[in-house]
Amino acid sequence: MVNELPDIPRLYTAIAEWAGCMMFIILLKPRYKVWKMAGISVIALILQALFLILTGELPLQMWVPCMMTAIGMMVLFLRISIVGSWSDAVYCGLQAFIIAEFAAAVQWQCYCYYYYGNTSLLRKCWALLWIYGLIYGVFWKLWTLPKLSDRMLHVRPGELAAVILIAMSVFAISNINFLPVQTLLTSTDGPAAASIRTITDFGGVAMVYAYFVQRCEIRARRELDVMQSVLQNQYLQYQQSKESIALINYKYHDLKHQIAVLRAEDDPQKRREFLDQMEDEIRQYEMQNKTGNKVVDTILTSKSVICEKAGITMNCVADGSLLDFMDTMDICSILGNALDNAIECEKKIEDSEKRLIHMAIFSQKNFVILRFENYFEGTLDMQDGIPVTTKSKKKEFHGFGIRSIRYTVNKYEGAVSITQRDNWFELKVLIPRNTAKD
Amino acid sequence: MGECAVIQIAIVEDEELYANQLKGFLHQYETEKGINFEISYFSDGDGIVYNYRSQYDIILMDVQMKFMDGMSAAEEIRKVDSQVIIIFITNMRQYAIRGYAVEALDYVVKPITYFAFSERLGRAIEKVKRREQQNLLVNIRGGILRIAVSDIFYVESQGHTLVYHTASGVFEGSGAMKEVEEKLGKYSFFRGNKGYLINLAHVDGLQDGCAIVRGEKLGLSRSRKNQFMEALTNYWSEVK
Repeated sequence: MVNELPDIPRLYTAIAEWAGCMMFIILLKPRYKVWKMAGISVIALILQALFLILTGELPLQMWVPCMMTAIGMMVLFLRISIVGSWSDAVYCGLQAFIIAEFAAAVQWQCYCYYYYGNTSLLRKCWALLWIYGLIYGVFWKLWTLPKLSDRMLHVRPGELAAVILIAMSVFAISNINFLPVQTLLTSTDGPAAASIRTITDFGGVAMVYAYFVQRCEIRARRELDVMQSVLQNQYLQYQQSKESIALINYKYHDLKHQIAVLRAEDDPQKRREFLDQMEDEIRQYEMQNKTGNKVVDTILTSKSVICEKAGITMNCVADGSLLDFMDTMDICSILGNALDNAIECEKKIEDSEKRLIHMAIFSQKNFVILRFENYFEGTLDMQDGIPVTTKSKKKEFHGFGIRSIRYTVNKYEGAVSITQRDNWFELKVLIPRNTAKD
Repeated sequence: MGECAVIQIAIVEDEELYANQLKGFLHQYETEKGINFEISYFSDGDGIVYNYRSQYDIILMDVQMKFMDGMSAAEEIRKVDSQVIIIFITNMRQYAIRGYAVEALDYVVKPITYFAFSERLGRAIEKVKRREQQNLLVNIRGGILRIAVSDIFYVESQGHTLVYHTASGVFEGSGAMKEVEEKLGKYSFFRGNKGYLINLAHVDGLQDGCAIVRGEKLGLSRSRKNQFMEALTNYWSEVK
């Protein structure tokens, strides 16, 4: 080799790798409190540095396994520190690794170009600090640009494979120069090799970043789609039940006429009593709820049919006219989802006496309040104001009912609160009345 | 304050069978929870309306009765008493759904089960306890003021002075906002921003990011707005 350039000090690489991990830990949802996180980070930095320094003297064929182990340690550090699956940790770990490779390469090149030969410790530290600071500062800005809805990644196998592929190719091409072999893509010139490495790493960072942004966008769009379909679903249900309820009413009136005719025909006292009783009994089945708002009536009726079937007692006091200013779709979304949630919960209760739902729509001052209470045994596990359900199969739809309620209520500048009081789950909505859209 | 007074309950029910059942349930509740009730009984709506003096905490009211039905009786009662908690007892859901007109947001359907009844009664008792008048001693310039918590509209902090905006006027006192917040936080008070501690019961509406309290616009800080709204939501759904 003609133009020898010293290798990047192992300590520098360790710091770069650690900083890359830290970026993702701060970006994503941490698993522990601040102090515990700080402790874990310090330990991780020490371990990473020790490992890289101690393996620095090993023969060349050990170099690749060592690098793999270093990446493994980064993944482990991420897995311990952030909420998420192994896939999430690997995804972040590889991104952090590529970023670290780039940062270390750039820093070392700058250092060799501007400072080399002047080896005071102060200058070394200074060079390390400002270059890493600048690089990670810029990356931090970039990576925080796309919006993550719940500070979690939920990486899927296909997405993970893409990043693994990117990382592997970047790693291979950028380091091939440093192997003692002659290939088409290599240069034996030290500085040139360093430049190739830096440029390749830069390409890697760009690829990983582009992929990250795209992923976030697709995710956000999909979330919106699901929300829309939840909304649409409640609306469709409403349309259907509107028709069937009209039919029931029609039958009911028919029957009423029949009774009237029957009564007119004959007049023994006993028969009349019997008929009165019959009419009374039929009235029980007239499940029509008259709240003053047609949409509310229809939803309540259709949901009370479901409750009747499932042996759930649903009581409701509702001034439907208070919701007159809201869109049909929005009423469907709030009432439909809230009641569906309550019904789902009640179905799991063994004792039918305890299957109770209470609902109220009323006004106080300039506010409309909707309150849904349902009896349940157990404790509520909340995450971001959304209770965690036990339905693990439908992960995609997890919490979308409540999210859809929040989304709708936000349109009216209202608020949603979910709490547990004794053995009751309570979902409460407050909507200011003066925001009526005219 | 800690000891709870006897809770006054009226049963208004024309069918003796149900009236006795309710009495039985109330006695069972008394022994289970160690609470004392004083139970009055009326066999028709006009009985309770006649000479009504707001003497009850909770009224268990049948909806269908011979002379005066539950809804009309509740209307009459509401003209005099806005505080009493009315729980309808009904065999027809359709009638009780309009309970909001007389602020009766709860009902129990016949045939009554003890479980459903006791759960709703528990809620009503919680509300009764919440409504007990609470007083606060406030250091103001020139002495100490004793004031009902519900009469305080909001507390404003101006430098080192605290300004109490109340039903009986504006008072200035010394003290730190934090201390007052600790004292009042357990009632329905919430910080709108650094300068205001607002009684949620007196928030009439919201406008342009401000809470309207007795005609005055009090700014809500961006960071607290969501929490404030949530507290307001909880307040109203717990009180009513």
